[in-house]
Amino acid sequence: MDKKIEWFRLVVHIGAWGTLLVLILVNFFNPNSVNPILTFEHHTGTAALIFLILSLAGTPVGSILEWKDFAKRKKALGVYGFMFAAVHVLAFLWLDYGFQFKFIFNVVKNTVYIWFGLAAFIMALALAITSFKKMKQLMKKNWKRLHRLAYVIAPLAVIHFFLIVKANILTLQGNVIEPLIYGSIVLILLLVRIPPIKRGLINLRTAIQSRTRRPNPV
Amino acid sequence: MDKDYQSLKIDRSEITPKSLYLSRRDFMRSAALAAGAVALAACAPGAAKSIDGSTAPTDPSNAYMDELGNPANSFQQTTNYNNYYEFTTNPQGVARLAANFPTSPWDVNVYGLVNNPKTFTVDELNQLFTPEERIYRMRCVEGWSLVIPWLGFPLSKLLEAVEPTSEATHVRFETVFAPDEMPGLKNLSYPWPYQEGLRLDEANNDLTILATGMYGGELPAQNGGGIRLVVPWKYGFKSAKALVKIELVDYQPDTLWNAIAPNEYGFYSNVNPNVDHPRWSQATERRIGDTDRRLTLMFNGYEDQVGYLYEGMDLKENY
Ligand code: HEM
Repeated sequence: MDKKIEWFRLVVHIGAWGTLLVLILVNFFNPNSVNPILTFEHHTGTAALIFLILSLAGTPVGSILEWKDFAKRKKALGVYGFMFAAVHVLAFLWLDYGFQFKFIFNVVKNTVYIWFGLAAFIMALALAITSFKKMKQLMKKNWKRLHRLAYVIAPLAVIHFFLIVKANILTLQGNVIEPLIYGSIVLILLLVRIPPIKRGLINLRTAIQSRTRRPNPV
Repeated sequence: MDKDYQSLKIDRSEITPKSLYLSRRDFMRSAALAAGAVALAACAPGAAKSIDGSTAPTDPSNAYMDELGNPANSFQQTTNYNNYYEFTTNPQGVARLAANFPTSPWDVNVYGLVNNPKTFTVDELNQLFTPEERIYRMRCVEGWSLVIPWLGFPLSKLLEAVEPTSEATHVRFETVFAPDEMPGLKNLSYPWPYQEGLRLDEANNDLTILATGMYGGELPAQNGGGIRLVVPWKYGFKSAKALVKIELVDYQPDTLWNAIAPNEYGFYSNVNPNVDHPRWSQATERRIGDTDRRLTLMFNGYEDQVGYLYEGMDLKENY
């Protein structure tokens, strides 16, 4: 494990830029793409949510599963989440509404799901621009406080998603499966941070590891 | 209920340019010819081809235009992007999943408060009521729209044949329930089968048709074949697909979307740019293929033909 090429780091960077490239090609350079603007809006929104969720997974994956390389990339994953959210918002403002602010203003005013998306986006923006080492040193304690917003961004994005699909959240009828899956993952990633749950999971991991090691001791 | 409803008479030539009018038999013949031509031209660039491999029977490009001068969308666009949750909730995935769905022979049972209940085959209906071409705008509640040249006949003709009794006030439509062929039906988050409804006077309006074809050919499975409803002044989900039951009733029927979210999907669901969906703005729409959005028209641009149906009604209340 000494001279490691940090392959996970490569996966993150190539994965993010590759995803962006694929989404552009699949939607805008594909003759079978019939409604590219709306579909691109959906795809970039989903990519933003996935990267924000991966970022949220960094800490528990590091502590509970002891995958430290993953934990080290949580910041990059979060910044990529913001990048996709920014492309998503740009697609909405530019591709979808052609910067016609008369319509944009009305849509934002009347559309509840956008309020949740906007709240998530503004928080992600704040975290992204303070994500540099310099900022961390400058802000001291306040940096930690600000970056606790990470726990709020993903839930807001999930609510945003729930409000877009044609469904009834209360009765779980309609097109609920996708937002339900993302919502459950976010919920789990938040729950495993609670100290007793976290400790229990770490103990479980060590127990499983010692058992699987026993017949084949190092 | 006002029983003296009237069906607004429209000069056919207003809707259908004469040159585009084809009788069922004519279009069957031209479809066969075109299919041959397309088979020959299949390797040529630009042959309209959908991802499931079916081919447009006639070249749709700029041949069709609606009465407002909007060119129809291409067969490729119309057959590769739509909502049909019986197959999948992904609008780009319907065509592939519907590719092997059998649409012929197709039976539809017309019953309920009628004097002559009967199960018709689609072939029978096409013989009884010669299909005519209707080029309609289709506005989805999600904010996109298409212009589609349907082949169909006014629902009023079928209703006339089965003779609704004087108690009948509404028409209930039911879509086929075939979970083995329609994977989306295994998703239990929906109260299947799909149901829709119209007031009897809406059903008798001349714009309301049952479509059995489009683009001068058959009605593809992904677009609602064997037979579907088309109500062009309402949001797309009102135009139920793959109909197996048409029932005349004396109550306002439940509809699938109304059952799921009553405060969002009203019984009427008329296209109305002034009444926003609680979650989406309905002021504008994007015509498939366009870069810019356009303003959504009251009753999807059919106000002159259907406005009388809702005189004196509060359309905010009756959304
Ligand atoms: C962190 C911020 C955000 C995340 C993670 C996010 C995520 C998502 C997701 C997952 C979807 C649904 C994708 C699907 O249906 O497959 C979506 C749709 C959408 N979002 Fe966002 N979003 C964010 C911020 C915003 C903002 C700020 C706006 C607008 C100003 C916005 C506008 C939209 C629109 C217009 C749609 C498509 C709605 C439709 O179907 O008509 N989002 N977003």
